[in-house]
Amino acid sequence: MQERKDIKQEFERLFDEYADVIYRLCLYKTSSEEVAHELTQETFLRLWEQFTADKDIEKPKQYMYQIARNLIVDHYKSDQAVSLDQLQADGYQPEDKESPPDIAADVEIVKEAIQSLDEEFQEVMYMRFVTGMRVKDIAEMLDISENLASVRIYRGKEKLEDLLTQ
Amino acid sequence: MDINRKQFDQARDNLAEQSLSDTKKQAILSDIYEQSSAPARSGWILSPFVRLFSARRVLATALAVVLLLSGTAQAVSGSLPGDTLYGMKVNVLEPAALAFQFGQQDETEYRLALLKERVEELKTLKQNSREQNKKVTDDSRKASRKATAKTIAGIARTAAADKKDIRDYLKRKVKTYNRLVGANVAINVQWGAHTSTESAKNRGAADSDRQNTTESSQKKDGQTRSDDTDDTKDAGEDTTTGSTSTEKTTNPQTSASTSIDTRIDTGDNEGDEDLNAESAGTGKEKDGLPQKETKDEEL
Repeated sequence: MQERKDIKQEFERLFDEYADVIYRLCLYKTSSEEVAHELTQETFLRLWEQFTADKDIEKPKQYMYQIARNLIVDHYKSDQAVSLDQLQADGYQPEDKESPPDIAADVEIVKEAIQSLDEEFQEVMYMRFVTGMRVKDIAEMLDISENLASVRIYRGKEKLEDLLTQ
Repeated sequence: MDINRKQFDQARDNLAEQSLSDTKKQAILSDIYEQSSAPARSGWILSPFVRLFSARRVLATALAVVLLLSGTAQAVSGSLPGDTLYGMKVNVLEPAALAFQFGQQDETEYRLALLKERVEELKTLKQNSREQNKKVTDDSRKASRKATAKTIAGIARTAAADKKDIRDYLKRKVKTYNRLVGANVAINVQWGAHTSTESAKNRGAADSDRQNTTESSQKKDGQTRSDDTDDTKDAGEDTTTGSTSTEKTTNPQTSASTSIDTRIDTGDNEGDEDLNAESAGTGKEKDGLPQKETKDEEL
């Protein structure tokens, strides 16, 4: 029982620290607050299931990030996106408060800028500047050295500066 | 690139400020604990919406009323799917208690409480089986599913089903239920508007017909299904059998435009989706970590 409590504490610590990071990551990838919310929940549900299944997760942050990414990919593969469109066509309107249109627009702007960079920089760039993760966490999530992560961020930033001042 | 620095900075800052509200975070956590059938955080504050539909309060009222009428009511109300008295609970006691709810608000609360009760029953069933080191029998599962389908159909017929928050609540509950019950008997609810001129009454009759057909098609499934169980993640605690049979839609009817069509099929469709998601998500693990995918171009 004591062990279970520890698991829970550790899980909630990760949740408190990274829920917003994962949420922003999903928001960046899907442009929808509702979907991002759902995917964040699913990510942590799976993490919790791993915790309770007594599986040793050596790198929970990396694990979390991979789940989120896989879920995002699945989201695009599945028909969910289509069925939401269908719902809207049928007269279902998502609440305005839920999805302010400017967020989607902001996502598009940031995405367009970041996606014009070379691929190796894209990931670190949105992780650093969109989700606001620390370099240490980025390195851990991507399973690269901190040094490499900061070099990539630095160079990505330089390239982005060039692009934006053109 | 036709984005200037100012635009970019502004958009980036806006995006970086986005976060989940505390209420949403709490809801996520309590949903997670509920879905994984783990005990909830002690002293956990449920979201106001969930608290509003406190199953205990509403059920207690109903129970008190019925207890006055019958001495055996307690045994009935405590029965679980698969028990002899369970049919009485779902078909006699609960409809009777429903009649004692005054006003639409109370009625909706009671119906939602019933749905919560269905989930709780299933959890208790699984808990009991775990303790006795047995598996939940197929009969219990089917009884549970039938009762749950009935409960959902009941809610879908009311105007409350049109409200977004109630619909969201329903969706979450159904998701939880399906996760617990196993893919082969999962409930497939189609959320969306449909075109039909059928009256609510007709639909009521149609619903029970539908459930009957479902039962028979399930039996057929049971026979055609192979014995080796397609063990998914769930199957550790669960007798999830393979969902290899083809989807059978037993609902030729469509419902009126204002309500949710509770199409009950063999559940294979929904189950498969679940399994797919599973394999794509945590299923691709290797040494405890999901494998990397380089699918950015798809995003």
